[in-house]
Amino acid sequence: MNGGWRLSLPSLSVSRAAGWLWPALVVAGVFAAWEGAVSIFEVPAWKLPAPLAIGAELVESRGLLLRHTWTTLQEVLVGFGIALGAGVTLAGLIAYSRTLERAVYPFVIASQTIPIIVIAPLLLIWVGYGLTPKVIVVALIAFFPIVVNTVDGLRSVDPDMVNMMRSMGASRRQLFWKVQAPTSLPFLFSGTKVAVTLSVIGAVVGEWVGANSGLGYLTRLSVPLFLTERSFAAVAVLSAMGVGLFLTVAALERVMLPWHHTAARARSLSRE
Amino acid sequence: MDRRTDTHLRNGSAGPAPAGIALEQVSKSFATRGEPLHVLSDVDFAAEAGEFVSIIGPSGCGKSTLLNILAGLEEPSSGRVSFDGGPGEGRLGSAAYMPQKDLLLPWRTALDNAILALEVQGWDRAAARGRAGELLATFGLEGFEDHYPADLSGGMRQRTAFLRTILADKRLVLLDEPFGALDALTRANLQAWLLDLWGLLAVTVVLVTHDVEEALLLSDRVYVMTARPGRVSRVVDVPLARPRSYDLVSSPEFTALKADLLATLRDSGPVPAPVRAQGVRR
Repeated sequence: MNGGWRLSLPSLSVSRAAGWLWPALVVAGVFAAWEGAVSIFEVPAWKLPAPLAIGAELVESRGLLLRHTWTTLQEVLVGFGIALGAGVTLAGLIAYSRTLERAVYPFVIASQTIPIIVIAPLLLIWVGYGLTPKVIVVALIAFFPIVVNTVDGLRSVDPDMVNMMRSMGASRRQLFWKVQAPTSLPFLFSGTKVAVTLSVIGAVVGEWVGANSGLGYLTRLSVPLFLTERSFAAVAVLSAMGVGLFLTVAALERVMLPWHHTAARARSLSRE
Repeated sequence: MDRRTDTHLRNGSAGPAPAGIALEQVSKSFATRGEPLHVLSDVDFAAEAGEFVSIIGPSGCGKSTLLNILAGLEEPSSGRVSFDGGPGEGRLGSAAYMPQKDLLLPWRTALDNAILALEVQGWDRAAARGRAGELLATFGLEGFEDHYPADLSGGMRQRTAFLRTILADKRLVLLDEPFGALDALTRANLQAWLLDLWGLLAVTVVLVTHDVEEALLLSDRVYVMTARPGRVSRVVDVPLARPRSYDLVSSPEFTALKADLLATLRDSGPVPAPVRAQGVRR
């Protein structure tokens, strides 16, 4: 499970530098091969642009890309925010009451089996053309991993721990806030990392169905115009957005749950 | 242990006086898919106020169920519980319960784990920390109060759990194999330490253990239980004078008591598979 840790543990400082060096070389190698192949086989730019051409496009169209990035980022952040709020609340209710679980959980799961691509055009009819339908698509995609992980987290409390709290005379509220909620936080963060990445995809899906701005819209617009570099540039920005959001959540987790990191390390050490 | 910590402990636990607890003909069975599982059968048990009493027996003798009944987490199927001279109802929350696993909360520092019971009782966090801080040295945790459990040794984790149990200020302390998960050396150290600490505390203690030496060293009386269904097969009074020290373990008197108790345990029947809590439906 912690294969990476095991490898990098013995001499941390040396292997940490090496840990960055190799992936960097691999990425550089892939780009070099791509660049070389495009130039050797004389692939036209509208079919497959070379990395350097995409880089040039990123710089040249930065104003345009920035404007569309802002639209997509808004959709992602608002939709994800709604998913987080609704997801955590729903998870709390599901973990609190068996009856609610039976009533609500099937809908939660069913909501994920309906292809979002079917819902997205309907949303245009229902709520119009602006930001709202995209935000709804993002929220629909992102709330599921948050709910499922948080419910698992709230349920993962050691029954002996519950007994000990009860023997102390703790109320159900105290049990929830002092034990259950903190126990579920690492699970919530795992769900959030998945959700925030899916949010970017959700925004693009929403924009493909009908929009007049956003990076998804830009990729869709660029392909028929043979502006393939621009399409690739927009995709690069989308990836960077996803990675950035993921890293932000991971950093927040480290800051907010310093104990979780030490505990995980202690566990992997004790398995050596 | 100096006079200062002595006063702190006494002042700290001055509020509630120790309470006695007694079981009369207590039986407990759980409904399982097949026939009912009899875990305890006609158990008579008593711990007078201020006594240290141990329960010893093979795996699956229902020791943990017995502790759950004492703590008020479960009620017997038949028989009577009396607490502090009165009926046993409402005893839940009157006993401090320390399980074998330290059950420290990984997101709380050692100090904040120790004050958990005080927080549950509604203490202000700063006041609770101050109170726990006075006892850190006695519990060998000085300098480690800000460490997370993952950074503490097994012995320290167990002492933190102990401090949490003692700070709960309960009139009855229930210890479920508190040293069971530790290595032999740490275990002996903690037993000697608990023996010293015990002299300062005014509480009733019920200790469940597998360890004959531990039971004899610490207790006024030892209850020997048989395998499932758990029954009390023998009650042994420990006539060793207090205060005791760990050196007692090698005395002839102690060795004789130990041999006697071990012989009784061997007669308690074959050791069955341990009762698995998951297989039991309540």
